[in-house]
Amino acid sequence: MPSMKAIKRRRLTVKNISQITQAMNLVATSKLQRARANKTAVGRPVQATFDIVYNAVCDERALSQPFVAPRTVKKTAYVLITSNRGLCGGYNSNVCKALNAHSKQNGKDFLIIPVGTKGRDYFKRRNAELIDAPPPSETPNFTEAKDVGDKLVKMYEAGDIDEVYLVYTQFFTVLSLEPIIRKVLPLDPDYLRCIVGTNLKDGEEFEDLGFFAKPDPKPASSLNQEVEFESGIENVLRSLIPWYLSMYLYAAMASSALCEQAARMTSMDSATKNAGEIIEKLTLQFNRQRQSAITQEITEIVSGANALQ
Amino acid sequence: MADEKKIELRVIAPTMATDKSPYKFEKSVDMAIMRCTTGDLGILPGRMPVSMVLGTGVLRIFDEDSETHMAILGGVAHAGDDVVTILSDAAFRPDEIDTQKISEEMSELRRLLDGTADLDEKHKYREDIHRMQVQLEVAKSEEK
Repeated sequence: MPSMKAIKRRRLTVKNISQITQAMNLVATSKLQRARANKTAVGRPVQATFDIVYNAVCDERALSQPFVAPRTVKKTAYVLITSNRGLCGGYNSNVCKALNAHSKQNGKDFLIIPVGTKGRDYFKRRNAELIDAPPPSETPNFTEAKDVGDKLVKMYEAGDIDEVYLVYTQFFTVLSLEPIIRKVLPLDPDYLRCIVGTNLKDGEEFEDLGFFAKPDPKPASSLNQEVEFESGIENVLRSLIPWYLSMYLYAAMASSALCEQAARMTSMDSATKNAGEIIEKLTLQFNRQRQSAITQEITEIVSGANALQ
Repeated sequence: MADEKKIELRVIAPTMATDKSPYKFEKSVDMAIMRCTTGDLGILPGRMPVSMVLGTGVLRIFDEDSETHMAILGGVAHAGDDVVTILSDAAFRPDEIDTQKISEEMSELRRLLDGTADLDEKHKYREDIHRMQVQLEVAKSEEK
């Protein structure tokens, strides 16, 4: 049985840790509000960009264009979005495990572009092929997303990669965060129709990416209008695709940043609760030992006094 | 204008301030003229859907009796359903342009342009100078 001094020291340590976790919980709660506002603000530009891309891609001439026409896949690229810091429960490991499972199921040669140091370290330990990307700042900004988007476009055009998957965490509620894997290149007009949510065909359903709500149905007059392409569909798509990728990435980064704070908040909350339980147990243990020491001392005094009489 | 029909103009740029508005610029206007790679294109309400690649140039925005300018340094735009969305690689309002700094950078680039014989470098410097000229043009239009 540990001594009273040891129990006291341990109780103090646990108390200090609980103060830290409580502070981290409060910080995460405040950052969660900021991340939520950022994710909401991202929604409208993302929706506007997706609409434009959809308008271009649903044209028949787009189907034979380089970013739309499917290719024989030799190499797959995964863009993995994780955080730079730990202490956020299973947030990072869940998304890394999802990528691992998907790559095994896909069975193709792959490389990873990690956005966030935790994901990079996870796959570095497993000797996966990595393409370095600068770690993102805590509040993702569009410039960071655009750098990665431009890099992907260059690699895709050069033939270094043949398909691109985005791996991130989607926010449903604070307690419900889900790792998501979505194919972003080559563009699939049917998939795009589902995420944009307009002109859905029979059997197709709006896929809620969590970036924006399902748009209102457009008036019949605006449907099936032919889009005119100044400077040719090829050039328009060449300029649009980096925007589509960057916007998708930006929204995914904003969603992941929100999930990181939610995961940290939840895990720090349970850590604080657990610390409280340990403190209670240790206090009980300490009090028992103190009581038994007092009882023993009284017994010794009484028996000593009795012996003297 | 007697006709109240307007177009909704939205400019999205990497430097967009998400804390205030998700767009760099957002307003209902009468007409917008932008520089495409094939020439200038004006958009009025009721325009049939069009997508275009933008070059470096001045975006001229007409509303009521006023005309405002923005420097657009490349990008892509789509007009349809009386909504014009510009995805610009870089866009600057007149109040964001530091004319003194740009003038200094431009003289430095001109010096580099004169000093190099490499054709690729010359092309790059010329493009950069053109971008700066557009920004100065926009800044000056505000001063008038």
